[in-house]
Amino acid sequence: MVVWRAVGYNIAAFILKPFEKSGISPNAISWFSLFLSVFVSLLFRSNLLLYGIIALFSVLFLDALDGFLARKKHLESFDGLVVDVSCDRLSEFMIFYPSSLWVVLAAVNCYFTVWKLKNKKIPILPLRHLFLIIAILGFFKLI
Amino acid sequence: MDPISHIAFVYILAMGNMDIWFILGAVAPDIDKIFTYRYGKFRGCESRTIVHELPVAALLVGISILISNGLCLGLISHYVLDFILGESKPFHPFFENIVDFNLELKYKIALGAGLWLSGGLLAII
Repeated sequence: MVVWRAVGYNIAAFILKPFEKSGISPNAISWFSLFLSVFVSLLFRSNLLLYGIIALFSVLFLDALDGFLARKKHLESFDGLVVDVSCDRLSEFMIFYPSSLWVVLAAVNCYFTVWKLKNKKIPILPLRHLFLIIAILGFFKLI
Repeated sequence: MDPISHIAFVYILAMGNMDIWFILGAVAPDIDKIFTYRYGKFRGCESRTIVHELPVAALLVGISILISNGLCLGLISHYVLDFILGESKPFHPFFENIVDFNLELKYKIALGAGLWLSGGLLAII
């Protein structure tokens, strides 16, 4: 498990290296990721599934990027974590609308997040990743 | 953000479909302004109550989707717009960390004007 985590980190580090020396702050990336979620929502609701998938992938990429940059630039802080997770939760609401089930799951995830901020062992549900997988399967008509 | 910008934003998100639920959702969280005015707290997140922060917002959004899709989208749009433009304590009352993206006033005004114009254009089209 630890080996796989190290492999994953190294792959991410390789992909995200070009962003490392940029002057962009992790919070600005979180902000942009939330802003982009608005377009993800509009694309999915306009039945532009492929563009929605690409935009959602970009949102998740930015989500990974902000944490990575924070760690690389030694800017990790509890305040930064709060910015990151609150952007993620609002982004989930925006993307999942109008599906009742997903919106309710996103609401539950908010409480998981509060719990996680108090106790690091609690996992946050990776709802957007799951949504992306389902959207890709739907695009290829596999479900 | 002002109520008209909130209504314009939900109007854009609803892609031109609008009913009373959208408007209600878009302006309802600002009910806490009553407390703001009453206690004279007019600055940033200090003027906000738990109605504007994630733990209660999640509850309201979760319930609203079961009542009306329009109400839910109105609430979501309100929270997102206030969060990206203003100062907040997203996990109040559990955590008091303040989130502020320090967006310059000119960008806030430009975004507000953009929302008004886009909403107006969408209504005309």
